[in-house]
Amino acid sequence: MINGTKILFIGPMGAGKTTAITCISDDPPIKTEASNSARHISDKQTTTVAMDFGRIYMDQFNAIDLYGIPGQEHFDFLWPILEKGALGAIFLLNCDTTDQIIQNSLEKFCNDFSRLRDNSAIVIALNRANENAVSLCHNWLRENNIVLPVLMADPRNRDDIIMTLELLIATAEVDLLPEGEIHDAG
Amino acid sequence: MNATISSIGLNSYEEGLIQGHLKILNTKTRDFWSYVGAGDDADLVITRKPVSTSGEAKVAILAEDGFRKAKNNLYYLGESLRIFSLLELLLDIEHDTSEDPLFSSSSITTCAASSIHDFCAALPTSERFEILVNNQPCCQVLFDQGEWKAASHQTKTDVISQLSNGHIRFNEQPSDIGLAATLTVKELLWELGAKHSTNRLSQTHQYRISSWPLFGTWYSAPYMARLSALYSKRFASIDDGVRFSGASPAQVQAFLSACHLCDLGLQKRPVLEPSDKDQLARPEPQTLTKGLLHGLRKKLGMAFSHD
Repeated sequence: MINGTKILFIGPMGAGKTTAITCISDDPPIKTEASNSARHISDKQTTTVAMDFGRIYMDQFNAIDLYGIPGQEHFDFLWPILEKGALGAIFLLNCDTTDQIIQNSLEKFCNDFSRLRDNSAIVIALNRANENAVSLCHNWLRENNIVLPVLMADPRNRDDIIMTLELLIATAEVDLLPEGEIHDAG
Repeated sequence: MNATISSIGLNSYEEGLIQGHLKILNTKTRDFWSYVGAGDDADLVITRKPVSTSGEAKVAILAEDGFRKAKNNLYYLGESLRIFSLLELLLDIEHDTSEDPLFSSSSITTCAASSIHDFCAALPTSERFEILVNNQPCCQVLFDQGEWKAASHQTKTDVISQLSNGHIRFNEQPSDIGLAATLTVKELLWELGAKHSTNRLSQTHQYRISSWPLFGTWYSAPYMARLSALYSKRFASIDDGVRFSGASPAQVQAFLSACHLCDLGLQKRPVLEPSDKDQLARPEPQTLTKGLLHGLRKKLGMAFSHD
């Protein structure tokens, strides 16, 4: 039996969740792609309709499970189920859109994954972003008193995804420290 | 304790008004305040325009709106110099100086960076200014697309190197150098603080930040991710930061200085001794998860993967 810890990849449709999981999973990910009937939201041929699943093996007994949520809002009833027990989430956001849509997505996903948000266990990875988009997100978080890291990341680039995971792991490891007593993290 | 006020750009009526107010206010303030005339060599400088001052001087700019504390050593005071606004200002300064400073000592670099930070905070966004280092032009700063940005004929590395090594001065009326501003002032301040600050922070305090730095946009090093995670989630001491990140004490202090310069909400509090009750309530570390995360760092070849 494999001991697993779960990391989610969240974000709206077309953000690059499936690509990011494919980029770092040891096994070819299990995908649930179907023809995209919402081309007005994201112009891609297929989209995830249940979830994506990938895995990174530490050894034969231990692994990190990677779950990609379906990004369309009519699947949001699945999100709390997937959030349960998750160590944290990489929130991918495609910034090749209007500022208003970016802000709406930030609000939607930060609210719907409030347990992870309140525990600072979400890393916001901006795809196709420029510095203005980064500032927009940073300012929105500050105005809403939400303390989460934001960075630019290309979901096709393994180094970028590893950097987001590194930030997520660092925040998770803070939680594992006993209060008032911090030992070497290694 | 005696404290002094000077002025820049005020007329003789306004200077007399300040002296008149002080005769009354010195019965209500902790310190004895005296007006020493025109100039910038005083504990408090009252001026019409932003000025750069040396040392710890407070600056109050006469503006249309009434008394308001901006950031660090900067205040706004109503143009009519009303006695109650002046009293409010003096009391606020006295309150400030009776608290522990955030840093037990400040480096030259951080003083320069603080001056740039304060100047941007004070100046109307329609203005531009030039930063001179050792009286030589270094870069121009202007407000563009919602934030202060710097333009220079020099590379970013050279600008930062100059700012970290020389005496800076501001020119409020520079000629347009016709260059696009590409470097945000926050990016500049971040790098000055994180790489060049030698500020000393108290070892007997814990620190926390309320916002993450911009990774991938600002200068970063592997230990900074872990410091950001630690200080954004809880109050922690300098030693805690060293242990959690593998950084040196100087790097941790420079990181926190950079957070302060970039308005990331640096707070401090005295180190709290855990009570017996807290000790009993302390949860066991989740060894399985800890092992998995350590394994994941090593497996993916992450920058921070100490054994």
